[in-house]
Amino acid sequence: METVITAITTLLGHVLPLSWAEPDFMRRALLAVLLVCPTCAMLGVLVVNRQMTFFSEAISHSAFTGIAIGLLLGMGNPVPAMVGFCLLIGLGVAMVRSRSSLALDSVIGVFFAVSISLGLVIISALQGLARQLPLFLFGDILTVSAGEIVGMALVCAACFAFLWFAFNPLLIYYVSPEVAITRGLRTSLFEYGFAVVLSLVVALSIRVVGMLLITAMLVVPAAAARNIASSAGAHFRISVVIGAVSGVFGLVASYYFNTATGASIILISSVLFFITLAARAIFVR
Amino acid sequence: MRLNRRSKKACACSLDDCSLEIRNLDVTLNRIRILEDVSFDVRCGEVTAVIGPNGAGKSTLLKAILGVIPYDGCIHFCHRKSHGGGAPRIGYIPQQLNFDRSMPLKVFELFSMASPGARPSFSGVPSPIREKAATALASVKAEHLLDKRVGGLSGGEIQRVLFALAINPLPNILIMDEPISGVDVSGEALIYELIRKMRGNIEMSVIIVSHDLSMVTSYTDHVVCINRRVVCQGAADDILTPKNIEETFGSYIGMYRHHASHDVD
Repeated sequence: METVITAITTLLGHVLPLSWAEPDFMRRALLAVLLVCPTCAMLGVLVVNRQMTFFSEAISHSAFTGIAIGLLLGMGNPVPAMVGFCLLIGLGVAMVRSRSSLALDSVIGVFFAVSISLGLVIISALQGLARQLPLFLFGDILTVSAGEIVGMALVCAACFAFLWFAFNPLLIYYVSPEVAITRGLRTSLFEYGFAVVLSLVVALSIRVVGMLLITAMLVVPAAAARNIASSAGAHFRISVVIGAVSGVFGLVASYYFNTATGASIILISSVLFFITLAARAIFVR
Repeated sequence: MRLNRRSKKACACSLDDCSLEIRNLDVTLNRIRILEDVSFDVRCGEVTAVIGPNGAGKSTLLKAILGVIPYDGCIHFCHRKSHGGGAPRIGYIPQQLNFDRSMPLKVFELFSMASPGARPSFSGVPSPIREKAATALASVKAEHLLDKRVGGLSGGEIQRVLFALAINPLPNILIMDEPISGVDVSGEALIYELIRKMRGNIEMSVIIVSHDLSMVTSYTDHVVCINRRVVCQGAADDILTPKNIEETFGSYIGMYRHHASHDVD
């Protein structure tokens, strides 16, 4: 698998005779960005339409606690602990939500509070850990390895497969749960699946944009697309294009201006959001 | 539909023909008893109206029939012998859609999403599903809404779309929750016309929750007055007496009677 990635990056070098695509790390970063950004944008369509921004915020910030636990346990690579903890929080929220009459935002708020304070307690108790945190807080796409790109490709494929089956049921369930149920669409499995896929995608995106900006990567392209899309299909497709475009341009801009890649990607997608917002104001009504 | 039934005792049909039998239905949510010992029958080919004041448990009753909330007692669909077994097909028309109106979603996409096993709408809606949606909309005189955004529709237009969705394919039980709330006068006439058409279809029973007593007297075969329990039931003309209405609606009697007499004129 990793040799395939190397072959692709070599090919990219020939296809793109541009100065920014010369270093090998940039070609690997390009590949990673082209996998991760459109995937986040796809999933973001559901996050934005179902008003789950706060939910994804809670999952992505619980990655912080997962990393702290991983480092505490002396794991050299805390990513498995991070994925595990994100899953725990995501499934926990989904379960409490389906079994209790508490308002969803307060349920999420409690889980959010527990996970962040637990993370802070661990970090403060073991001060040596704090040095390793910036990598996860801000991400570092330029050091991505071929093996990690393989992992990203697998998660992207899983996410797309999930959306293929869950996109319709989850949207109609949001529009009217009773109509969905009477049409024979049972969505509770998909609700849990959504939490699982979101946790995996969060873990995958931490490499690219860091924990602080993952929600932005999920939400901003989908929100920008929503400004100009009139159908769910167009919303999805435009969101993927905006995700990919801002990923590539953000990467290239960060190369020339020597800025943080993740933040540059988010800034470009935010600019696209305001452009589409203006376009909506001008052309729609 | 019986997924949420709490008790294990078997439910059997006492009637032979096609009907929905509700026996000793109790619903308790968050330790509050909402429905108590509710029993009535809904027969095929008939329109049954459920009336009662706000907070009487009408929507809760519908949710129990839909199987989305837990309950005690029996809700049993008795098939005609020709039907065979299996769960009944339910068509449900909610009062209104409670979603973010700025969501990009076209009417034909709503039909596609409501078809189990359809391709995800981001991969395009196949033309057979689009054509079916167009035919369904034409049956409620709403074919012009096919390419409209759901969020941009008026209350009456949404009601028509939901009606089209609920009766295609034709369900065994059609359930309407306040079908004329938020609908203008022409939409109201259309919905009454559709209910009139549905009435007499022997394969289907219709349940309508309504506040509109004039509608209840003109279009329904059986009326069930509910206020946490069944206050009275029977043919509309027999049971809509001032005494029963007062018992069902309590102090709201004046308002409701005025509404009814106004509409009848």
